[in-house]
Amino acid sequence: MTPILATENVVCSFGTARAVDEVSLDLWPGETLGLVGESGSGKTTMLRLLLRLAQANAGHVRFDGRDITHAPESALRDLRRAVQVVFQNPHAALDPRASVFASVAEPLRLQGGLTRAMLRARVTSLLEDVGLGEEFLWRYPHEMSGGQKQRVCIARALAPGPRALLLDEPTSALDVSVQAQIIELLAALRARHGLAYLFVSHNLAVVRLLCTRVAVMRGGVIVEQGEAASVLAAPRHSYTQALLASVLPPRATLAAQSPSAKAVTA
Amino acid sequence: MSGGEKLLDIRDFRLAFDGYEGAAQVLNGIDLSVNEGEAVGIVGETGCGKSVLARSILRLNPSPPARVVSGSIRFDGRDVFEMDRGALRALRGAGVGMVFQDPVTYLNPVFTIGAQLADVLRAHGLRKSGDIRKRSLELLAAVQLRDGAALLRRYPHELSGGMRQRVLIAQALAGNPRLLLADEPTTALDVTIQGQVLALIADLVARFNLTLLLISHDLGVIGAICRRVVVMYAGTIVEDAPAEALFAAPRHPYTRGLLAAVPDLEHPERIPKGIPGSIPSMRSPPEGCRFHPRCAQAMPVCREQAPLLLGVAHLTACHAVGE
Repeated sequence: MTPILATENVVCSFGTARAVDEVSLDLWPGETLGLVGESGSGKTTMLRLLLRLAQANAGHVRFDGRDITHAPESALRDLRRAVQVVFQNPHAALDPRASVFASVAEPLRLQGGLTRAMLRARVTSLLEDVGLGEEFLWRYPHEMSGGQKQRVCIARALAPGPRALLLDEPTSALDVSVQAQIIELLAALRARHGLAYLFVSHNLAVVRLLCTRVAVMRGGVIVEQGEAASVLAAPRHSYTQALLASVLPPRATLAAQSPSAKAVTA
Repeated sequence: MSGGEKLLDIRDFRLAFDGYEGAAQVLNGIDLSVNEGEAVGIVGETGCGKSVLARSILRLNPSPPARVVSGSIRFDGRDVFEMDRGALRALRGAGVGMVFQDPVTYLNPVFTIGAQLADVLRAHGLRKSGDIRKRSLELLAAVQLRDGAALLRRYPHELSGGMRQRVLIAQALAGNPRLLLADEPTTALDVTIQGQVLALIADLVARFNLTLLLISHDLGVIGAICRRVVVMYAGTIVEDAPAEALFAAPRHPYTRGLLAAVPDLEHPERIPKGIPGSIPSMRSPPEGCRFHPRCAQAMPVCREQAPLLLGVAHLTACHAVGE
């Protein structure tokens, strides 16, 4: 078996800053990999490198074992179909002037070969897949809640029939009661379609729920990587420990201890 | 509620936002009193009215569109909505210090930290530059920022998010307020920095005998530094209880739903559950209890009559509780 996506000692610099510094990471078919870390740790740049939205300065990016580090865009059609992305802010990720149908149908249109009736049937079934009824077909983004918009973004990502979804903080902009619904949906979709997830998040509790493997990033480097259950239960790296120590459980912890003397210095 | 004077007293406060499509009833009969020395957290989801309530205390909601429908907000015995300009200026900063969510937008990028602290101090009556400098350094030390003298010459972009939030907290403390009003003070910060800022707030509250009103959507943040928790839903208070009681034995179905939705790292086997449905439109909120369309325990009475906030120490606004 080869990983769907892989990087080998990949480097990405902006000016003198090394946003990603010799990182090697694999995403295997069907697995759920969590990528955690704070802002500026390089998580999003990693995601952009894997999608070839950012260009590596050194190292290699592979898709199905094939080196795509410098492949021309015309050679990336398979990648674009097989790997889709869901962004953090559903309010910004949808065109405000496009109906749900138009947004979800666009990737299908690009692939071509579908009549309008087929398109409509396919979009309806994609919406059903993410828990939205047919009545949403002609809605516009301003007529929907944040959770509904994120479902539309997920439906759009599923449209080309991908093997992997790269999820960039997909629940961070949502309220907790809605976040729980989206987590449930993502777990169900993964089981149904055998998708691989690269789940980028700063929320360790959500990562623990969805991911079997986890990689912890800091300063452009992966400081710890392993089974989610063991890394999050018994972290070895001091940064992972600090990150875990700063998670505030939904409880009255005031009496117990003050929130974070253990926190890392900036 | 434990002893102490009533510092903040909100009675049947109703606020509407007027718009072309009718008035949105954003606060619908808020009853809340906070005693001197208490640390109270207000928690709720997007659109529940928690920030509007916080801003109402300082009369910061622009009017129009905001319109007080009825009720009152008293700070230290005086009605905020009857204050003249002078009294209102004294209330803002000297009575109540406020810290906002996003430390990036609340600092002016083209002025140094020193200039922006000096502005606030001048507004509070300091005149001599020596006094201003001395007090600025004291404030920066109070928020645990090292090397204050150098910091005064820095611009906001040279500071990290956590440092900027500390500067804003220093500004909020500049007028020696009695109430610290913090609206999502750590939401824009990384988790490791969030812990430090919360620890700082808790420390300042203890050191300067401040009363704290902390607004957050995050139950963990509230649980970390508040002794009493107020839960809001769709412009109403649904539950008001000591923190331990609220987390251990929540009574209102919405509070229970909210707690069940939070993923808990220490209990990964507990799968979080969402609350079905979504928040109602404030222009045409449901009759009776505003939560009833999403409530599994809704009874006929819930559709007709808005429940009162009842109880001793642990208050709940629910027909299904405490009958």
